[in-house]
Amino acid sequence: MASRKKVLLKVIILGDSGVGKTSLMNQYVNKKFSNQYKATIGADFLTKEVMVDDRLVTMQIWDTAGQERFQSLGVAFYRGADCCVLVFDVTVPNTFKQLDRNKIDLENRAVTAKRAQGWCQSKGDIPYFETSAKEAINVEQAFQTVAKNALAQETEVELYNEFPDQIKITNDSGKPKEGCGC
Amino acid sequence: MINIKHKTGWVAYGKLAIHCYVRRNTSSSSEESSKSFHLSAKEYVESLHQNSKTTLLYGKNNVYVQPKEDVESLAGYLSLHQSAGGLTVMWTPNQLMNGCIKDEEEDVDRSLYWDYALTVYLDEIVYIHCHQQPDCGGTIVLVGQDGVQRPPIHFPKGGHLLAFLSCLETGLLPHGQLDPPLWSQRGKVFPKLKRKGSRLSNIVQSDRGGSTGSTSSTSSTDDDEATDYVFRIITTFRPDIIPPEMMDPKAKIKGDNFSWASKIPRLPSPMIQTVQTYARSQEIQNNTCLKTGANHRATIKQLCDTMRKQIISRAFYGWLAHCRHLKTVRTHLSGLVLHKIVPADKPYDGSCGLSEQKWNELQKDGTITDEQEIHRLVYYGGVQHEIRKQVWPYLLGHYAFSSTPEDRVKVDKQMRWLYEKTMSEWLAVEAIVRQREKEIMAANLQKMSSESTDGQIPLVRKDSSLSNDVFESQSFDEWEDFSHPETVPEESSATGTTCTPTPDRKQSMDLPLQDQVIDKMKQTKEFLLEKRDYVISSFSDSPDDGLGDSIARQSSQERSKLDSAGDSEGTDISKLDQDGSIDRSYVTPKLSCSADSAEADEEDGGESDDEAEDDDEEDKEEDDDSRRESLLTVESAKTIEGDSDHMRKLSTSRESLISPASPASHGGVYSPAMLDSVALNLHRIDKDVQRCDRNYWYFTIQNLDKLRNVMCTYVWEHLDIGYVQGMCDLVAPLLVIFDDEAMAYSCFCELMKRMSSNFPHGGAMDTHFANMRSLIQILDSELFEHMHHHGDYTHFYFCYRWFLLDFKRGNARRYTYFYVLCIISNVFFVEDSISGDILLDLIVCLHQKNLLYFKTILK
Repeated sequence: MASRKKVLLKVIILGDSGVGKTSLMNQYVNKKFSNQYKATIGADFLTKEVMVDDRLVTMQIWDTAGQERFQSLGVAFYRGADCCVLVFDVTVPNTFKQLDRNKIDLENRAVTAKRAQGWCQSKGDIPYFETSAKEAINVEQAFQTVAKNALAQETEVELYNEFPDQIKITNDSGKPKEGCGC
Repeated sequence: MINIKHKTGWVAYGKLAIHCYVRRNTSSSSEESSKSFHLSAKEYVESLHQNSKTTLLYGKNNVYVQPKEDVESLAGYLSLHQSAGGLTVMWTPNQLMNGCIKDEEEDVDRSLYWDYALTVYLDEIVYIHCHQQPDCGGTIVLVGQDGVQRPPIHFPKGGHLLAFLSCLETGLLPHGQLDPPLWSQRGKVFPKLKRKGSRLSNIVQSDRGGSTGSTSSTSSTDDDEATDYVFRIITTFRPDIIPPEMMDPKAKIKGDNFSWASKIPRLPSPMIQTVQTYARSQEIQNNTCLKTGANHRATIKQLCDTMRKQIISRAFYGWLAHCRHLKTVRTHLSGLVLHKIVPADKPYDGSCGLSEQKWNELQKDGTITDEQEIHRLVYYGGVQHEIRKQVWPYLLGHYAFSSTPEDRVKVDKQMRWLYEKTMSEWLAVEAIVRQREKEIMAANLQKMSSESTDGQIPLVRKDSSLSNDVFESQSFDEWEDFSHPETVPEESSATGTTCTPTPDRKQSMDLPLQDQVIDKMKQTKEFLLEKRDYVISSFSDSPDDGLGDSIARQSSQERSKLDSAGDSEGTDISKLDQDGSIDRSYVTPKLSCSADSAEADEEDGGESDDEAEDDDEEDKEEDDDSRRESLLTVESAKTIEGDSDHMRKLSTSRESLISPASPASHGGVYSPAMLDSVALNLHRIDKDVQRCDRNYWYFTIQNLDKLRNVMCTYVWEHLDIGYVQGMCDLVAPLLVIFDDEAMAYSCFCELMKRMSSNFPHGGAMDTHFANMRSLIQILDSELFEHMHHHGDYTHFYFCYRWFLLDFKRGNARRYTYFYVLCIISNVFFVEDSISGDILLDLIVCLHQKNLLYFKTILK
């Protein structure tokens, strides 16, 4: 099944507010990091075309608002998502706790990789990445895996789950001077 | 013997008996194989089964046929086959079917039976006569084109006749059918035949006249009983097989006639006439359904025409429905806007906006004279930047347009008093929350030793670092829970005292324990000082001691005071002092109140606390209150030597205080749930304030502080809703314009009266999305279709921000902040007066621009 049809993958990024979802998306799509991001309201999306096993895949990445209030809104929005990326901040364990959202960071790390990995494995071997949106560590690899798995999912034509695949990505903002650059 | 056995088997299996045949025959074939006769018989029997050439449509055993007039009825197997050549009805006497008879005599007999076997090609059959007797099943007589009746077939009782006919009817399709058709609404049923009564008798008569072998069974039709039917088999010709001339209906009738006439020369001419008319009438009837008699080409053409018409009409109705839908949508949309159009150019061109000069012209003795005109100018031209500060309060509803300067002073004074009161309330609660967090953290610090983040963030406002601490501290808990469950007992013991040895897991091993204690005490002191500073700074004008971080807050307070003094000319220092004293009176009791309540908690559950402490975080949070108190006690005891003053004040008030009468303290008791809620909201606010419009020059740390104050005050007043992301974005421009917390707060409250429904708890967003959808559908159906086909974006979720923030954000990316202010000043204020739903209005305005934006993104 070489490049037959253009594939559109809808990926949504979830996570507590301020864990760096927007940073992550922008680093991946635009290869840029800014410490000027604001809180995302509603949802934003960017698209990026990637090659996955000779197939041209258009990834449509939706960046969502972190506050749980907004999460309840977009039922239509979540429908049809091929993949979902959970992000938490490694420095703020609460972000891991809530929904299992994501963020690990900085030198004062509070969620161990072991713990997060354990969680991922318990949920059906979800891939787990530790990333830094600031220094672009692991971001590319993480999203590549996202695309790959989502694509595999699609070809398998499995029974349709709400979220067929979950890829957990932890965002390590690298070593910004203070806090995480989100 | 076997015969009998077989028979019973068939009866038992009913129609399934056919399958029994297969086995039976294969089993019995060995006996027959010796004789060629038997072989052919075997082949014959096997041909009765379903095979590659023919499809078995129906099979029934024990069907009686009287093969010859002089022979009595025999039981046999009736089957209906469909092959490429058409339908065939076969009947085989049972004697042949059960080819296992050994007797020689019977062999002779059997050859006789071969003569009896019946094969009827349905192509040759024109009429089927059915006779149903209530007591003994039904009889079918097949009448051929030549008018010859085939031997009557007697079905046993129980609907077999009907079953046969329905199989026959099915088999005739698609090139033929029964006329009249069997009713098929609830399975196959004999048609109601009232209308056919006379005709039926006619046919029967004609048939009888033409039939060579008359049978008794047909005689019953004379009685016109409703149990007798005549079906005609109608065949539509396949155009590729039948030559065109044969498709001429008249030719066909003639042919029919001829065949009838030639085969039955005895037929009297009136009879022919009857048949002919009948045939014609049939054709007329059939024209409507199958057009049997019609020219086949014409039929196809007609069919195509019909299809074309249907397609066109369907398309038309689809289009019509679409138009109607759009009309409804239009009506709906037009209902959203006001139809009273305020002219842009009367009395003069409004696009110049509201300038300072106009603004002054429109006031008389400090009172606005023409509200409508202001709205008009703002709507068409915006507000000149310099006077926004003066105009916005009106537009937002803080001042009434008809207000006099005195009214406004009064409003301001009231507003300021309220703001400060509210702020002192939440500051007090914040202090409690912070304290609570600190204690949790302190407890954890005991175990974790060092790694205190406090030291790291001296430049940032204390609060923010503290707010992180909430989570830091919990994180330590988690860490503890996760990786060192064995330390739990130690943890609990650490709560009470500061000197418990703790398991070190980081570099902190070398840090002397003493330092930790001191460090912690410092923190506590600092915190208490800070808390006091808040209170003081909120009501005193005298430049206070101001420890590091509190300066910012204080200065902002002062500044707002000065601003307010400047704005409302009547306010003076003494008034402020008065306000301040009022504030003081609540603050003190409140602080002590909370401490007191916590103390009460301690009495209730403090004892069990240490034991109860476990790794369950939620439990822990519930216990926080009492833990905090216990810690507080410990700490206060320890720190008394150091700072005394504040602590003493706190403790004295705690002692003296049992009357939570102060209105500000809400009874003085804050439930843990409420404190949790406040903590969570503060945390969120801190997070968002820091990143709100931070690229705009105005938002320095001090001004972000103001933003935070406004935000917190609002959230404190609306704790049920809490902070929702986006609120900060709405406050920010207000603060930029007013540079005055209280004013921004008041205006924000006014603004939220309209906007709050847009937030998730309000539910207005769905309406916006629906309207947006309708609007795009009307304005640019092409775009709408595009969106629909390229992943369904018609939920318009990506528009969320536009609505929530009144388009502030979407544009801020591409335009200057100044531009944003322009947009906002339009959007914020004009809604009610000029246009019904400003959002939609604005969308229309921005439509072109956004279209390109969408299209780029979506594609």
